[in-house]
Amino acid sequence: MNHRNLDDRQLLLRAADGDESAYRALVERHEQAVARVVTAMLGPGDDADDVGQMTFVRLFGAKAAFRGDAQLRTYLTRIAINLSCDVLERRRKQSRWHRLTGGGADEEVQLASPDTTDPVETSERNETVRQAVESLDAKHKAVVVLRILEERSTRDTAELLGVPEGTVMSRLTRALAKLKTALGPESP
Amino acid sequence: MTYRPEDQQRLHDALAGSRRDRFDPGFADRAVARWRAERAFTGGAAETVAFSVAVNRLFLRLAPPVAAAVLVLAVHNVGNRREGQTIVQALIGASTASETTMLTYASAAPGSLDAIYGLGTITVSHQE
Repeated sequence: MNHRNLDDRQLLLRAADGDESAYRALVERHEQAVARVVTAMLGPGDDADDVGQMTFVRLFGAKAAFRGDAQLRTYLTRIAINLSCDVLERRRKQSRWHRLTGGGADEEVQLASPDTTDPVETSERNETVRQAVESLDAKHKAVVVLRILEERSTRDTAELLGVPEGTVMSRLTRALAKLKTALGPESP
Repeated sequence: MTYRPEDQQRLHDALAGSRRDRFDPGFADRAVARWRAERAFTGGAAETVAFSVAVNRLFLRLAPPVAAAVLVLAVHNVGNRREGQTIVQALIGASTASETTMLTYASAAPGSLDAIYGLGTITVSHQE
């Protein structure tokens, strides 16, 4: 059966009744939106794939809560962000345990070097920024991904994360402050 | 190294660098297989909740009737308060401990417990 003409709600209802092709149609329709957020949060790989699968499975757990007033894509994004945050927290705990047991090198953000503009410096700087992003905790990273990468409004971000707008702004400010700290103070 | 306005762009680029528009090939197949497995496990409900969420739901379901029962018992106890019993004692259904009540409980106690433990029978004597 062709599911292209069916909207999300119809597909959701059919899938809830066990229609596998309807479920597949939902996955294919929204894979991109979920993949963009999850891979931005976790990087590509097995964890991202696992979270992607669980996002679509959890959609049915939240079926009752989805009443069509919110876009399904927004709803999926919310689930994906929450699951990604769980994975980031787990990684952080594992990393801490690894450091405590002496199993791995401490991943600290590289700090200041003289301000130059050569390609090597640019590459180092990109790496420093990347590491600063990686060092952000889950809550802050979620805000940075949604606000800066996905370019969502503060209001949208707040709704997705289930926090007040003020919290979004304070988390973004804190994340950027961490980045500034990693790169050193702004020159006058 | 100092923080510069273009670092905002670097931040964007760093995040965008790891972002992918699609999962690895075959994602839809894996997602459907996972969904099928979850449905089989949950008997078609396909609803998976964390243990803490399940406990929370159970608590929310049980708390109102339990609270109502506690309230009814408390009102009943206070309404039938015995003489000399404080409100708190009445609320929790405690009786005032005195020599008389102790002796009453002791004499009312069946010898069966003593028999179980092989202690013989306790006899209570009242001295004039």
